[in-house]
Amino acid sequence: MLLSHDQKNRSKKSISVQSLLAFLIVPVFAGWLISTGYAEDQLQPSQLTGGSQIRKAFRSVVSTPRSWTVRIRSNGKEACLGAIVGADGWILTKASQLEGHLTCELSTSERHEAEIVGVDGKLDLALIKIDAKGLPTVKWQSAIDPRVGQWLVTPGLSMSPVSVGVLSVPRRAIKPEPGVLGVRIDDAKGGALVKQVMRESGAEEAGLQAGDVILNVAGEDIESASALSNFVQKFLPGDRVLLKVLREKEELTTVVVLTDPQMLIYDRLREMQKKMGGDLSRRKTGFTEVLQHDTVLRPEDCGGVIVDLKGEAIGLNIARAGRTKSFAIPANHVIPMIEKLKLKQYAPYNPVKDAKEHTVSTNTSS
Amino acid sequence: MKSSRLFSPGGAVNALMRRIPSSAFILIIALSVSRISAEEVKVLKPVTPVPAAALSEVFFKTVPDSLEDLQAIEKQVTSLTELSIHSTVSVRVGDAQGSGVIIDNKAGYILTAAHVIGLAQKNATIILHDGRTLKGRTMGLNRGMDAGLVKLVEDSEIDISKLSQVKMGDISKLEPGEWVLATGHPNGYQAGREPVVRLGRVVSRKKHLIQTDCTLIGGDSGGPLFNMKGEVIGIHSRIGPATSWNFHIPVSAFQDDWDKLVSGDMWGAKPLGQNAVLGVNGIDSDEGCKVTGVTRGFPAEIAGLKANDLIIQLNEEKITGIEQLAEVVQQYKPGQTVQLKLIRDKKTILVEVQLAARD
Repeated sequence: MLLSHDQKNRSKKSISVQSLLAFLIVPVFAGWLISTGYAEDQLQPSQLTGGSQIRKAFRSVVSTPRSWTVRIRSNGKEACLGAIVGADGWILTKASQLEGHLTCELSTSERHEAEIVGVDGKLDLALIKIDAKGLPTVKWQSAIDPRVGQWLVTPGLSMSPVSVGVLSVPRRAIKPEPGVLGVRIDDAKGGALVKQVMRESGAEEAGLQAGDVILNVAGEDIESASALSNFVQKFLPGDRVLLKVLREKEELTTVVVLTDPQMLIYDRLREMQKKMGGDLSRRKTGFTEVLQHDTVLRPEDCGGVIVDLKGEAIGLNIARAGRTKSFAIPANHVIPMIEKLKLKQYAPYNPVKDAKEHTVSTNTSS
Repeated sequence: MKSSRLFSPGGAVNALMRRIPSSAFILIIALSVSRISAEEVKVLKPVTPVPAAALSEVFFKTVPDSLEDLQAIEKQVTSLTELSIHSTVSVRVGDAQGSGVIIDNKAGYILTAAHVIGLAQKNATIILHDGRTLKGRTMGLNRGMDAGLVKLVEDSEIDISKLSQVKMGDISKLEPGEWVLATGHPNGYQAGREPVVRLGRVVSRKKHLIQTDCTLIGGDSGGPLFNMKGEVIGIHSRIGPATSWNFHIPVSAFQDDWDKLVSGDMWGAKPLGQNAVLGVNGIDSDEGCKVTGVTRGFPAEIAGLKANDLIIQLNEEKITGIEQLAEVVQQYKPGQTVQLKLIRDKKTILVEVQLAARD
C-alpha cells in the first residue's frame, strides 16, 4: 500500500480518491456553520457531556486515580499520559507517542526525567522509569468488563478528569492497517527511487527527498519499488523503521515514522479530519483487544488509565481512533505486560541498532 | 462488480464516505431554515402515552453534580442499551450504507434517513444487530427533511414479529440538556461489532433538527436517537465540524407525514447537486417578483414563503421578476444560505433560505 506505481493499487486508489473528493465539500461550509454562532436556547459548552461542569461531577471518582497519572512530555511537548504501575517509578504509557527526551509530571507537580525500559509493539505499550520512590500505584479492575453504556472516566493531573464517556462496544480485536513511508516510488538500480515525498508524511519528517534511492528498510535490502511496497506493508502506522538511502552517491541513514495512508491521500482530508473531530492517534489499529468508548480525547491524552465510577482502572487508553471512538486496552492485557517489560523481555526498540527487529508484525495476532 | 465492492470492507467504507458530505451539507439547510420557521407549530400526531416512568431527579437537573447523580444516569443508560442495540439495523440500498431502527415488527417498518435510501421502491438489505440479514423495500421519503421509511420483506427463516422494536416518543417537550443515547453503525456495518452506543445531551432543539453531542460519523445516518425512556426521538442525519455538531431529524418528521411515507410518496428537494433551486413560482411585478406558489418540500416552502409574498431583494441583489430571480439564484450553489427581502402584508421582512438542488 505504499502509494506507488502498482497498477492494482492505482485503481483502488482512484476509488478512494473519488470518495475523498466528495468529502472535501464539507470544509467549505464549515465556516458558515460556525458563523451561525450560539443561540440563546442552546446548551452551554460547559454543560456538554465532556464539558467542564459535568466533568466536575466526576471529581470524587478521579481523586485517587489522578495520583496514579503522569503527564509525559517528549522534548518538552505534551506526548501522552502515563500510569504509575510500580511505586519506585515504573510508568506504563503509549509507546508510539514517545520520542527524544522524556519528562514526567506527577499530579503533585513534581517533575522527573524518564527513560524507556521496554516497548511492546503489539499493544503499543511502553514501560518507562523515573527516579522516585513511594508513588501511589494503579488499582486495576480486570475481573469484570464494564457494561455498554457504563461511564468511563479518563483522569489527568487536575481535580476534574480530562474527559468522560461511556463504553460503546464490548471488547473486540482491531485489525491492523499497514503503514506507509509517504513516498511515490519507481524502480531504480538496486533499490526504489523516490519520485515524490508526500506532505506531512513520515518520509517528509525524516527529510527524504525526490531523487533519493531507498536501498534498505529495517535491515531488508530493497530490490525494486514493489519489493519496498510489499515489505513496508508489514509495519503499522506509528512504527519506526531505519532506512538506508543513496543520495548523490552518498549513503545516508534515517529513521522514518510510518504514516496512516488515509491521511496522505489528499492534503485536505487531514485538514478536514482536524475540523471534523480533532486529531487522531498515529497508531490506532492492530490491537489484540480493545474496549471502545465514546470519550472525546486528544491523542496526547491517551496512555493513562481509564476508570469506572468506583475509580478502578479497567484499562489503559491506547488511541484516539476516530470522531466517534477512543480505544482502551483492557486491564487483563495490560497487567501481565508490566512484569514482562520490567524484566526487559521486550527490549526497548531502537531502529538504528535493531534494524531487523520491528515493533509489530501485522500478521501475528496473539 | 459493483455489488462485490459494496460488500467488501473497502467498498462499503467508500460508499459511506460519499454520504458524509451530503450530511454536513444538508445540515446547513435545516439549521438556518429551522430558525426562521420556529414559530410555526404543527400539531403532532398523537403518540401512545408512556406511563410516567420514575426517571431519576438527575434527568431534570442542568448538570449532574454528585456521584449519586452519575450513578443514576449510568443505571438508566445501561438499562436501555440492550433494546436500543437490538432494534438498530444496518440499511443498505445500492451503494449507500447507513443505519435504521425497527419501530414496528408487525408491519416491519424501519425508520432511516432519506439520503440513505435515495428513492422509493428500491430493494434494501437489512442487517440485524446480530448479523442476520433480511430483505427490505424502501417506502416513502421526505428528502427535504431527510426522513425515509423501509419495510421489511417477509422471510422464510426469520420471524419478523420476534424482532426487537422500539416506540417513537413524544418530542413536543424535548429541550436542550436532555440526556440521549445514539446507536448506529459508524463507518458501516462491521461483522462482530454490534451497533455502537454513544451517550450525550441535546444541545439545541429546532423545529426541523435536534443537535446533540452524541458523536456521529458516516454510516450512522438513519440510526436512532433515544431519550431516557428508550423511545426513538430522532434519526441521525448529518454532522458538522465540532464533536458537538451532530444532527438528528426529529421523529415528528415521521409522525407528521406517516401516511405519506407508508404510501411510498417522495417529496422535498435534495440538498446536494449542481444547480441551486428556491422552489417558488412567481410573476413579474412593478416592485419585484410576486410569489404565486411554493413547491412542496422545497427551500422556499420550508423557509415559510407564501403566495402573494413580494420578493424584492436576494442578498445584495435587487429582484425585478421571476426570470431574473432564477438567474440570481443560479449564482449560488445548493446548500448556500441566502437572505430574501420580502414584502408581506405591507411589511418588509427578511428571511434566510438555504438553497437546495434541482434534480
